[in-house]
Amino acid sequence: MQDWNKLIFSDNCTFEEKARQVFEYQFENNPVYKRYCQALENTSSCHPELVSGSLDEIDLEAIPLLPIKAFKDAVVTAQPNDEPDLVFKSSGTSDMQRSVHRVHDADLYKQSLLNGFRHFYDLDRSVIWGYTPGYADNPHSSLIHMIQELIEQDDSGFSRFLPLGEPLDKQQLTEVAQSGKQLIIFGAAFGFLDLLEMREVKLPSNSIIIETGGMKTHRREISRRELHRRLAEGFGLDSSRIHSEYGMAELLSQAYATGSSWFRTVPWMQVSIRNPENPAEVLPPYEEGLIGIIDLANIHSCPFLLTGDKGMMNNNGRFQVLGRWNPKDLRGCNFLIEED
Amino acid sequence: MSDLQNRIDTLLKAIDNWLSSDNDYLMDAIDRTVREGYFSFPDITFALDALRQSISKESLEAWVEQAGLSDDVDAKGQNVFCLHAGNLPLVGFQDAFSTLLSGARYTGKISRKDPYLLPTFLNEVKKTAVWTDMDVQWTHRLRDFEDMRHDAIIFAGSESSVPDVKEAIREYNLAKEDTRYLIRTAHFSMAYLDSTNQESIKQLAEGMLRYGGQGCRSVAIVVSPFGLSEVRDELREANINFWKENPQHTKPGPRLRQQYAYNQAVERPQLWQEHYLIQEGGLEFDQGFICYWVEGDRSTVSELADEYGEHLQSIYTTNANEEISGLETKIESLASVQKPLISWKPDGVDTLEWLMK
Repeated sequence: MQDWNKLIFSDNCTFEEKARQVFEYQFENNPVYKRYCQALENTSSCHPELVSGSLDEIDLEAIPLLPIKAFKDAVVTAQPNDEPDLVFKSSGTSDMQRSVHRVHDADLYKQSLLNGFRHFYDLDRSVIWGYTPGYADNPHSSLIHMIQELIEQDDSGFSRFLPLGEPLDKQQLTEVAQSGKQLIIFGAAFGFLDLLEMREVKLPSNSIIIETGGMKTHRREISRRELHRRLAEGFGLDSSRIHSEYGMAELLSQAYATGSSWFRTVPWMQVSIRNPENPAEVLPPYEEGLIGIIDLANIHSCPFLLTGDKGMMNNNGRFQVLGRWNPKDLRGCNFLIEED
Repeated sequence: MSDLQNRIDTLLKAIDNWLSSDNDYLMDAIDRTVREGYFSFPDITFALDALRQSISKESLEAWVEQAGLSDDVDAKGQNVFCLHAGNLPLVGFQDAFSTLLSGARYTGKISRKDPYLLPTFLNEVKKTAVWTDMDVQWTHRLRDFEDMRHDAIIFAGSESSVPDVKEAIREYNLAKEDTRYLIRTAHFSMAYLDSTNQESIKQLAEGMLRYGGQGCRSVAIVVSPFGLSEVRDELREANINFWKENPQHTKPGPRLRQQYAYNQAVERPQLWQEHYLIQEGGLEFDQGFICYWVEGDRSTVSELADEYGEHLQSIYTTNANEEISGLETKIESLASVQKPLISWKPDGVDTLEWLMK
């Protein structure tokens, strides 16, 4: 039996070769993904070799990306007969349809999130604080789970979730600073703004804020740039210390933007920007489109995904997240300055 | 003869002349429209037939009475600016016609996507003694009317398009401080199909597929006590028969195929016919050429009408006397989807009545 954990995080195998093997496994075992590939082939918009489930030539761009909404509409798994180790659900109210991600290998996920974090940060010399209002009501939050795992790596006792609705404690900040470790605070964007509204506190200058998105709430909507400016000013940090994480319940890997608006992925994850009108087409750098993802850590659910997020790639393979893709009004009378 | 009666009679004569088979100007406009790929010949002739059937002395007099238009209450002296969309052939006709009928002066921004058809009607109007060159003006470029400030402006828009249109109106100084706006926001319609007889299915096919489903009157949601799988075969047949007479002019891009594949993946019932997709549930409205099928009853219709609010234009029923509480003003017959009365009320507003306010 294939040791997927070993393959996915291996340095001795190219991403393309890993993706080829993962594709074949998915095609064989994931009924939702198999039907998707086969239906695309029936409409001649997919490479024939994909329908056989066997790729001789490796062309990552030709691998069909399943719309991520499938996690809401179906059971997306390559192990349909097994109980999952973990279940993540996207946030939302009870009457909303939520994404459900069945995680069949909790160890693989742990390895992905820890290796991923270590790819960008020195976890062993960090204190992790989590501030996650809005997620506390979701017992299946992947964000909470991820932060918990990071917290558990620190045996200093300083890492923890911050109590909701309370300002940062200056005494505790001093203690972290004296420990010699770097403070990393993880949390939703609007939560940080709430913290600053309660009390502006200057953090140790080497601290890092990692916001996980959520710029639009019932109270306000601001741009990422403006958010970072306010966080830097409010916490007394250089703007390069305000970072972003791009992740979601449907993904077992994360991308990070460490001091600029451009995200980088971990080595077992790849992003491409797709033409919304023809998702099989990869757009050139600096063109806006839908963010497509290959996340090999999703081996047992579906690693080949088309998100509903708008993004743009640069020449170095880094990408920006530009919010949700809002299609134009495609029906009915609509006077458009550009067209009419 | 009163001024109003004169306008009615003159417009009727202009319509007669315009739709006459020996009107070479209209024939040439149709020919160019088809040759240059804007619309198909069957769609254009259908649109012209619909107008021919809806405009008569009786229908205009009934409309005028319903709207309260008279020689004492009209829109004379007003300058009305119509910005016509071009998603269907002659989609702006009712706005131009009601402006003329109201007694107001008409200024039109003709769509670049439907550039030839409406001007042939306006030219007929200008040949009459009632309207001069000053009363009826149009162009294909907004900037041609720079500094012509209007009393009323009519256009169809959406949350994303309205700010750009208003900005252009400001830029070219086309409005006064107290200019009134009639901005239409409905983008699709719904049908309640409680009968699967051949005629109803045929009417539904016409309601969904005419103009590629791009009109705000086009059926984009079907609510029915029957599941899609129960009527799939009849519907497939009706759609094919429709396309035999009216080949679909605009073809969808690859994204529609992806949606079909997605439906297969999640095992969602659907009817895929290459250029059009009908799927059960999954209402997203993020692309054209899809009709959403929802199994339900009258209460489902009400719930969806609540949910889509101002985006919903009309609700069609197989029974013209159907009553669904609270939705009386939206209900029309399924037979009338693409052949509305000349007096129909886009977004529930009688344009003629609005012009007189």
